[in-house]
Amino acid sequence: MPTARTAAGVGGVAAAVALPLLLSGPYHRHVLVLAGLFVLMALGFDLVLGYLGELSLGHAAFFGIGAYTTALLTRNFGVPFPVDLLLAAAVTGFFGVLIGAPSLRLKGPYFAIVTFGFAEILRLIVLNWTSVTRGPMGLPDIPHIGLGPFRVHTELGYYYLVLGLIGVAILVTRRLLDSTVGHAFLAIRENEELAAAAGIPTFRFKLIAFVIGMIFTGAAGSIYARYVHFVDPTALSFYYTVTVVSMVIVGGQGSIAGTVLGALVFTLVPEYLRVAERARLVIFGAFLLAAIVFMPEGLRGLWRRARQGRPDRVPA
Amino acid sequence: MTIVVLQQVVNGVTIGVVYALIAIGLTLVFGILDVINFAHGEFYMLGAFLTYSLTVGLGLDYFVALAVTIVGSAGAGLIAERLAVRPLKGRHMFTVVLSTLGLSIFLQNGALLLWGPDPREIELAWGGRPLVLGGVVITFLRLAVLAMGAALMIALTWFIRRTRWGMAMRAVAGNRDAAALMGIPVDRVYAITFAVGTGIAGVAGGLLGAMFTIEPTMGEWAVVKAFCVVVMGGMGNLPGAVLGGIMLGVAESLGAGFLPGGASYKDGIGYAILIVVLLYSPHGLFGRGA
Repeated sequence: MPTARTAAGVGGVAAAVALPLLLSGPYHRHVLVLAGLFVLMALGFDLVLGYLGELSLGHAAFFGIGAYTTALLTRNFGVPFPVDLLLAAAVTGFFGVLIGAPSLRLKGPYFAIVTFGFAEILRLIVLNWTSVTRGPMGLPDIPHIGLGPFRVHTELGYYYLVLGLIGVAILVTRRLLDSTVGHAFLAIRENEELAAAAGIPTFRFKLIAFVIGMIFTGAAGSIYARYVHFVDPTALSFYYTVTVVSMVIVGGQGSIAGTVLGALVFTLVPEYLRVAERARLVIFGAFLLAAIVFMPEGLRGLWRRARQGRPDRVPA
Repeated sequence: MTIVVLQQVVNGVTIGVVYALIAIGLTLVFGILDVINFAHGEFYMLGAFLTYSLTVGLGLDYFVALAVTIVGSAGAGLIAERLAVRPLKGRHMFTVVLSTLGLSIFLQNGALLLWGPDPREIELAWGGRPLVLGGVVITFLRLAVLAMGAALMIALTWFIRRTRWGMAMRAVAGNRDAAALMGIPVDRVYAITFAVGTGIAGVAGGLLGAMFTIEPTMGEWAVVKAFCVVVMGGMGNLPGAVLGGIMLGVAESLGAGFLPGGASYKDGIGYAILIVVLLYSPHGLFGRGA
């Protein structure tokens, strides 16, 4: 159903463009910017989980690398807008190779834990290398984006900037998946040995997917640093990784729509739970637990099941 | 100099025994259920707070409190397994990882809500009394920790080697389907494994809580240490976890004392070991065992 799919895509884009205009007040728009950044991170994450079938628990580190690169470049060298974003993407990509190359030799739980270890070491370095990062005090006064006569300084401006980047990320992902590279990804996910036996250089393709995913994430970090003017080591904290893992698994891995939906749910729920104050994260934990136990295949699985009538009840 | 080194080694071994106790449950659950339990550290935290409430709150004797703690945290583990792990049986490992992460967030913040963020202390009148052996100081509390740790490990070994449930656990670890076909109630073996692991982690919390302060976020730190230990010992390898725990404790203690900048990068030692072991010897330092 290519037409239905195109229609859904056009509808999605229209909704995304119109959404902030329908909402009043900077707070809701602020939440939308955060949601957009999380969507970008989640799309990067899903390239690894959904298409390679590997769980990376080091995702937040790449977000932090992007954020710190932009912070250091703009504060120390006055690097202007698109340049710092591109450099942040490049630096994140470099770290993607550095960490991905050894880690991707491992699989399953081993890959998950080794990426976690790398991320924590990076966090410790950022925390303790005070002469450059100012440690826990963080880097304040990151300038707003200025591009010639244009200045991005409102929630709305950042929202559309992030939306544009999400568009680029989705296009790159789609093009990639429709190419030979994408077919190789799927072959690797389904059966790596067979793929290798068929002559697919599995390791190289896995590294490509990993690095591209991390570049999306680094870009999200770069824009985040600009948007909040401040970055500290909590940007690399495991909490962000958990949030992104939740988004992609609850949304439905290996699906762009599911990832976007999951990212929205897992930005909006914790954000609006702020009214619960101290009980916020307790409720969030319970919500996450319930979401997985009751819909282990994610929102996408729920949707598919609803459309197909109840295929999970196979008559004995 | 040698005295200082010896002192660091003694301190490291005591911490290492506690690391080992935490890691035992994690490695058991991984070996038998094939689950990476990110909530494991929270049972260690619950154990510490349970011991605290029983001793400081109710005025119970420390060792009685530890005995109650083992039962209490095993019970908490049973409930958790039922709610967060069993419904996902047969699902992808990553789904279960996420559910234990949700459980961890829930328990940690629940404890924060109940007990508040302030660090607390389990104070023992006799705990701080020192024993001096050739210049090396060791407190009675640390001796008690070493003795209790050894006793628990021996008891667990006996349980796994000699009892019917222990045999069932080994059978399930070896081949789940064959075990099920032989009439072993696999679900119950899973539940018992989980409870044994969380029970021991709870005691570890009670023991370490008497040496240092306790706070609701302590589980986060503990599960990470336990991961390092489990990886060092080989995932699913029980004696490996014990050896790995002691090695990590000693390595950290020596590293913090003697490496330049060691104190701020002390936690990094564990991660560095974890990465190197996973990359070069993913089945642990001691080969494929148990």
